[in-house]
Order: sequence, then C-alpha cells, then structure tokens
Amino acid sequence: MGNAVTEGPLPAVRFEDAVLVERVRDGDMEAFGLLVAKYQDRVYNTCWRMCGHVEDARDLTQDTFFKAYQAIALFQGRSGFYTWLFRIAVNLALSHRRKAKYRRTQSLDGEGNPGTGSEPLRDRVEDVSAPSPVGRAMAAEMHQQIERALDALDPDHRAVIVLRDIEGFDYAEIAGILDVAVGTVKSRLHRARAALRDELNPDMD
Amino acid sequence: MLPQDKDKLGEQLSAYLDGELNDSESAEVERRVAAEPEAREMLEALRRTVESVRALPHLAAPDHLLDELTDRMERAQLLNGMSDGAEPVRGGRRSRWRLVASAAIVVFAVGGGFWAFREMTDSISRTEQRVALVEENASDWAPAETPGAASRGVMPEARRRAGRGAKRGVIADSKEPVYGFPAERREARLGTEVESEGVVARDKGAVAPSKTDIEALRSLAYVGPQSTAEELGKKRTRAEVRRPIVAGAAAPVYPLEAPLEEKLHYGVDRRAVRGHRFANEAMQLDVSFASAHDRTRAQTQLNAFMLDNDIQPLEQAITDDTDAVPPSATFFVEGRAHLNFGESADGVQVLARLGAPELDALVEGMRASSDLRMQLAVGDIVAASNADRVREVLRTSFARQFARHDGPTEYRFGSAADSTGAGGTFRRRGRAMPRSALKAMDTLRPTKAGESAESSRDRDRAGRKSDAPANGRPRAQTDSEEPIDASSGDLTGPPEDRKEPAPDSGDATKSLAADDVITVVISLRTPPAEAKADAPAAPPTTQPVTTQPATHSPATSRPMTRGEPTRSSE
Repeated sequence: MGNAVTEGPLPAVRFEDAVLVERVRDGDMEAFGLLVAKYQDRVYNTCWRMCGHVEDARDLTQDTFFKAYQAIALFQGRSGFYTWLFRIAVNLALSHRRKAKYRRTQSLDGEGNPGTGSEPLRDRVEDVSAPSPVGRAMAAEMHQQIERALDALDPDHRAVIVLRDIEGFDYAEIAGILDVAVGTVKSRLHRARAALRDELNPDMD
Repeated sequence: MLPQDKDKLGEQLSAYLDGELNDSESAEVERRVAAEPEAREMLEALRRTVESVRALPHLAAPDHLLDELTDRMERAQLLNGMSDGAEPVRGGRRSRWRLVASAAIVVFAVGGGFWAFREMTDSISRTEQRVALVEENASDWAPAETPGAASRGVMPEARRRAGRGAKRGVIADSKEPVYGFPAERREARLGTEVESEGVVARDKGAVAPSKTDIEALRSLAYVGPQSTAEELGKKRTRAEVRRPIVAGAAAPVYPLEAPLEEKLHYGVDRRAVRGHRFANEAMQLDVSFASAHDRTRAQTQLNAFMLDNDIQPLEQAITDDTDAVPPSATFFVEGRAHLNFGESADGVQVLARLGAPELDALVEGMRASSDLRMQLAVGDIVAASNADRVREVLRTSFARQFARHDGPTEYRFGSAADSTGAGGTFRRRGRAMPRSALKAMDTLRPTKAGESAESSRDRDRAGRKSDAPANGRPRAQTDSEEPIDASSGDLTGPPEDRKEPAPDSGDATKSLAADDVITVVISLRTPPAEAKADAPAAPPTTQPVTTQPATHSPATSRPMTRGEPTRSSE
C-alpha cells in the first residue's frame, strides 16, 4: 500500500486524516509519515510561535508527533485528528513555557547548524513583503517587535493568538484544541489582542 | 463609554474581524462602527494588530525533523516496547521489562589463552562472508510476533534518504542504533547491578571474582542511544558526551560531576565517560588481560588480524583511567568489530558486544577449539527478544560444549530483574541445579501464542531427537540421567541441554532478529595444565551454530524492526 510512497516523494494525493489514522493503528508507519508530512510545518510554526525559539520548537514538534504516535490508540475520533494533534502541541508548548526558567534570545545572525533548525533566522525567514534590503530590515524589526509583544503575553493568550492569527483556526477549532468553550476563546482572544495592541501601541500607532 | 461596554465592544469587534459573528451581531457592530468614532478607532487598531501578527513569517519544519522523529520512534520501539504503533506505551514494570528490547549478557570463561581470541576474531571475519546469506534471508529471521506491524518500514521516505546506511545487521551497518536501555533506567540499572554482583559473588571458585568483573558487567549494562562507528572515530569533548550518552530522548542529562552511582543510574559507563567514548557499539569488544604482556600479545595478534584482513584502525587510544579502571587501549576497526583492550589486575577478560552474526561466529570459533573449557552465564537478560536468542545459543551451542568438556562448568541464565523473572544455575559438577532453574529455562524458551512452554519444550525435544544423529556428534553421555542429581557429577541441566542440539530446531530462532544484540563477556584464562589434559580433542567444526534462516517459513516472517533486508553487495 505504500510502494508509491517509498519510491519517491510524497504523493500529491491527499489522504483523509481518519483514513491515515486507521492505517497507523493498523501498524502502517507510512501513514504516520504522511500525517507528519502533512502537519509538521503547521505544528512546527505553532510551537515556534508559542515558545519563541526554533530549537525548542523543533523539539516540541518532535515531541508532539512522538506523543501522538504513542497515544494514537487513545484518539477517539470525536474531534479531528489535527485538533487532537494541535492540542498535544499546544499543551506541550504551554508546559514548556511554564517550565522555562529563563529566556534565551535567538539572534538573527546567530550561529547555526544548517538543516538542524538552528540556522540563523535570516536564512530561514522568507519575507516576500519586503523586497529591498531596507524594507527587509524594517520588516525584520517589526517582526521582532511583534515577537517581543507575543512573548510578553500570558501563555493562554499567546496560544489563542497563535492558533487564530498565525495558524488560522476558527473559534470552534481553537475551542477544541484548547478544550474550552467557544465563548472563552472569543473573550480570551479579545483580551490577548488588546494586550498585544497595548504592547505594540508605542510603535504601531 | 463605560469600561465594561468598551470591553464588550472590543470582544465583538475582535470576533467581527474574524468573521465569527452572526448576521445580526455583525450588523450591530457595523452600525456602531459607523456611528461611533471610538468604535471605529478601536476596530482599526485591532485590525492593525491582527494584520501585524498575521504578517509574521512562517518557517518550514527543519529538514531533519522527520528523520529524527523516525529514529526516535524506532529507538522507542527498541527501548520501550512500542512494538505496535497503535498501542500506547503502557505502564507497569513487568510489562515494560517484557517489552524492553535490549542486550542480553552472556558471561563465559574460556580456557586456552588469547589464541582463542585470534580464533574468535578470525571467526568474526569469516562471519562477514555469511552476511550476504544472512541479509538475504533476513526477512525470514523476523520475529513471529514481535515487534509487530510497526516494524514495517517506519517512514520509508526518511529511510530512503538514509540510503544504504540503513542496512540491516550489525556487520552491515554500524550506524544502526543497536539497542537501548529502557526508559525505566533506574529499575534496569539496579536490577542489572544486583544481578551482576550476584553473579560474580556466586562465581567464586569457578572464575576469580573481581572488581573488574563487576565493572565489566556494569559496563555491559550501559547502553547509549545511537553512537556509531563513525562517531566513535571522532574525538569527543565532555560537552559532546553529555547528551548522547544518555539513552532515550526524554532521558535527563546527567551532570558529569554527578556521583558514579547517579551516572550508572542513567546507564553511563564510567569508562565511557572518562574515555570520551561510548560503550554501546554492537560489535565492540572490551578485552582485558591479566598483564601488559598478555595484552601486548593480543594486540599484536589483533594487528596481524587487521593486517591480514586489510582493516584499518580508526583509532588507537590509550586512556589513563585513575579510578580503579585499568588503562586500556582502544582499537576501532571500521565496519567490523570494535576491539578494546584493557588490562586488568586479576584476570584475562574480554567484554564483547556482538550482534547475532558475530556471536554465531564467536561460538563457531570456540567450538572449533578442541581444548576450550568454558563457563557460561547469562548474567542478565534484559530483553525478551534477546532472551530468545540467548536461549537459542544455550541450546544449540554452549550446551554442546558443556556436554563435551570436563571440569567445573556452569552456566547461568536469567535474573530476578529480567523480563521473565527467571533465573537459575546449571552446574556440571558440584551442587545440583535447582528445579527452579529448569522452570526458568522453560521460561526463556520462546513460545508461540497460545502454546505453552511445556509443549514448546516437547517439540524442541522431538526436533532434537530427530536431528541429533545427523550432526555426527556423539550424544552427551548424560542423556539418560535424571536432571536433578547433585551427586552424579554430571551435567545437571535439563535433559535437552545435554543432548545434541538440532541446528534447525526451528521455532526458537523465529523470534530472532538479525539485529538482536547479544552482549557477551568473555573471560579468558590460561587453563590449568590438568584442564588442558582433560580437554577432549573434538575435531573443529565449521558448521554454523545458530540460526538457519532457510528453515523459517516465509508465511510467518515479518519485516525487521530495523531496516529493510539488504544484500551486502548492494
């Protein structure tokens, strides 16, 4: 069932998550590989924006898929697989933040190891909105400001911002991921944005 | 606007931007924004905030993420018994133990001096010639029940990128993570240590117990995650050692300054730390000799072996360990066995970590040595799969040696800490073997689902009986004797162990994976003169002593946990 996958790049066929999950439960690791391929970027970005560090994000992403693999038998299918997956990711990221005793800084020019996720951010960030060097510099500066503002948010607030404004989940999906009511998502998102606006206000307004 | 009103409006504006309001709510928001400058200002500020966040760049997941995840999952399958991806890891010490895939430890003493080691290394070389066959039939070696469907090509894309490096088997590719230590490291360590020291303590009179023995056994229990021959070739700093030396991705990093016991808790071998190297290589042989003279001779022997086989040493290092561990010289032989020589004060000792093919070769070489006297103990069987392997070795090879040789011989297997909870001692002379040992032996026998150990034993007996004459060896003279007999002076092991084993006795090998790793501690002693005189002059044999892959039914074969079958010629 997976020959086409083994011999080349992932096929363009889109598999339904439920089908893949069933295949994983049947021991088909190729299916799990497909799930990973499908969601790794989004999970990685979520973790990155939640924790603020690419290295931590890599570990958290790996942890997320690892735990999902371990616990896939417990996945009831009442929610979407990705909801469940992102719940794991967000919980891990929240836990990570709580455990963090100190914050490290990621330099845009920092030393990195190619291919390991620790490259200088400059090499990995593709900012199509700022074609000129000056524009890129301004965009980078703005992004840093936003990242700092995100970093200042309460973790729960940061989570809703990341899930909504970066990953584009709707309120119901966010509620599923965070296991809260939709109304809670709504109010929490409002407060998070207000806090973010206040953080950014001196520079943005 | 009252603060609570402003808050309520802000919440509605936020939801409005997200398109999460119904029609009437949206209409109300639009009406207020049109009518109230403050609301309009709030909406614009909110919109800018949201857009700024949405403009943040996205990163693609690191390229290595999938590879790392694949490695981790496969390692977890070995470490924690994630034998089935659909099955979450369960708690419980016993189940964890049963599921742990790790090393077994075989301890046996060999008389005959270091020339036997030469024979051993030659045998390892000869084994290479069988690798093609081994790999060709590797799928037939697959466990009948374990490790399950999860072993079917974990993330083939990642594996494909790994290229040829993903060959199966220890000889085929030393990059393969070979075995690991259970996540429940403390339990494992304590169990191992207790057992190790117990073995040594009970060993008095047969093999001189020594601190080195304990150290050796401890070091054998050490398992790291994935160090490779390639990595071993590098000089490591202490900082580099810190992380990878701890098995298990989630395992904590131990402080180098931590007490030894704490390090051992995490499975860290003291010598590995001090020597900035790892001790978990599948084909590593730690060899300790009683004297510098013996060591030099053995090293010379090894050098000749390497020269004859065109093997280049990757590294030769002398570590000066001042903390009760004797200095040792280390040879890393690329793509072959890693042979590490150490000098011990009170014995000639070889510590070996061998894959199944190498163990075969080793045993084969020893069988070819007519004046060998050996003592074998399975000190600690950590992995169920390796227990199968160990049992196989016991039955098909060493038992034959015991039957042939005189002298105080015993072998032990199992431990209180192993997955079976079994343990026992077989003695050829001296005290009788306890009946519990017989039971334990049965416990070690792999059984098919729904089949009792007893029926499996019966089948094994039948198989041996029919095959025994074919191998041309005389039956052990104790065949018909009662197994429990303290005064007979004969082998008091179970009857089947005193009979000629059938090379193709079948089921026992079905649970053997080619990448199963048997950790072997070999103690070499210069045999007493009378022992040499007693040694029978059995002709050497070159018959492979263990698995006969061709006898396995393809219908029951399943892919291996690690790698796809790959011919060495590929």
